[in-house]
Amino acid sequence: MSNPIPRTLLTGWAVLVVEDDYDSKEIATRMLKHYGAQVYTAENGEEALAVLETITPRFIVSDLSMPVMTGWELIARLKADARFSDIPVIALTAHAMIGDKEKALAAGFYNYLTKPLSAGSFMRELVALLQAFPQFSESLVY
Amino acid sequence: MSHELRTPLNAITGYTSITLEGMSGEIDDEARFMLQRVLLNGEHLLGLINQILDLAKIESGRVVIMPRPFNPRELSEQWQKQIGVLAAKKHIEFLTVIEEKMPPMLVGDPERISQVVLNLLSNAIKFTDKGCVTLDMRLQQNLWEVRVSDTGVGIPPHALDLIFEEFRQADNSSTRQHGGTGLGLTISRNLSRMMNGSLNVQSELGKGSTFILQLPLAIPDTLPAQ
Repeated sequence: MSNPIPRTLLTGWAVLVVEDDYDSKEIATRMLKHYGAQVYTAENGEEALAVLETITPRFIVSDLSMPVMTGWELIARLKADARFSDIPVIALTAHAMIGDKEKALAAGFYNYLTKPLSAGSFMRELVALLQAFPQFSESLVY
Repeated sequence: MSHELRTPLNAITGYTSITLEGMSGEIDDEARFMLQRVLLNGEHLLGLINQILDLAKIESGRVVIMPRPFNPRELSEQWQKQIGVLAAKKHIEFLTVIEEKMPPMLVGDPERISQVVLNLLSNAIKFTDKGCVTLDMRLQQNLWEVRVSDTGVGIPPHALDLIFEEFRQADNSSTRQHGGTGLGLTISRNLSRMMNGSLNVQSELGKGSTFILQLPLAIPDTLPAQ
């Protein structure tokens, strides 16, 4: 098996989690905090845009279907704004939505992870995706 | 409905997995054992819910078959990758045999075909403790045929039809022993029929089983440019 992810991998990283489901948000937050991240949360796209006025996260993890403003609309806004267009956004897709994955990439999401979030695989998959992001390739080596 | 069923269950397995991972501090062996059982049963229930929803979707006519050109060899490589891992865990050999005259492209719905074949392959691994599982792909007159053979426990003659019924395996103790939900073959046969094909089985008790998927797949008139 591969090396365990060090507890300090995301130390000093601000991360934004956008998720309307209370438990999914809590679970994602706990996993990211466990590896040192400073986690900010928003319950929909509109709240996420408000949070982004005050902090600049290294990456964003966002659900797709949310009330008020969906993840789809959020990604469109972020891509259209030069301040945010370079921040990688990982979509959280539900199990059965096969077509969503291709749609998410086409919409500008950097990549996607499939729910349910499991501690065993979530961080490993997330870090693997982020390692492929050019700006992170050196800071996420472990 | 799917969202309403999955969301609370995802919360249960999610919190369990982060606790098991030690994110709230060390846990002792007894707590670890019990949490592992919570996770295992939660994942089993999630699999069951997903299959029930799949079946409901098929039965209500909400599944659409979307045929398009695909490369059967590439598809089988994906199966080899996914199933090879399961086979290796049980120290079973998994072989793929494709006849030479298999065309480079066929027209069918690769997602639905994969759903059926992966179900047959994972069943074969599940019910085989030693020996091998073989996938044999060939053209049989106008039909594309995939045979999944195993050297597993086999199916008694009286159960050959029954295994395609909902929530049935060859005997009642079987789901406990072998896991699974008892819906995989029902879904697979339904999907095969939706693709105008058939799914059948031959088996000898104690020697193994062969599941035969036959689909009327067309060969595209023009091949894509190399």
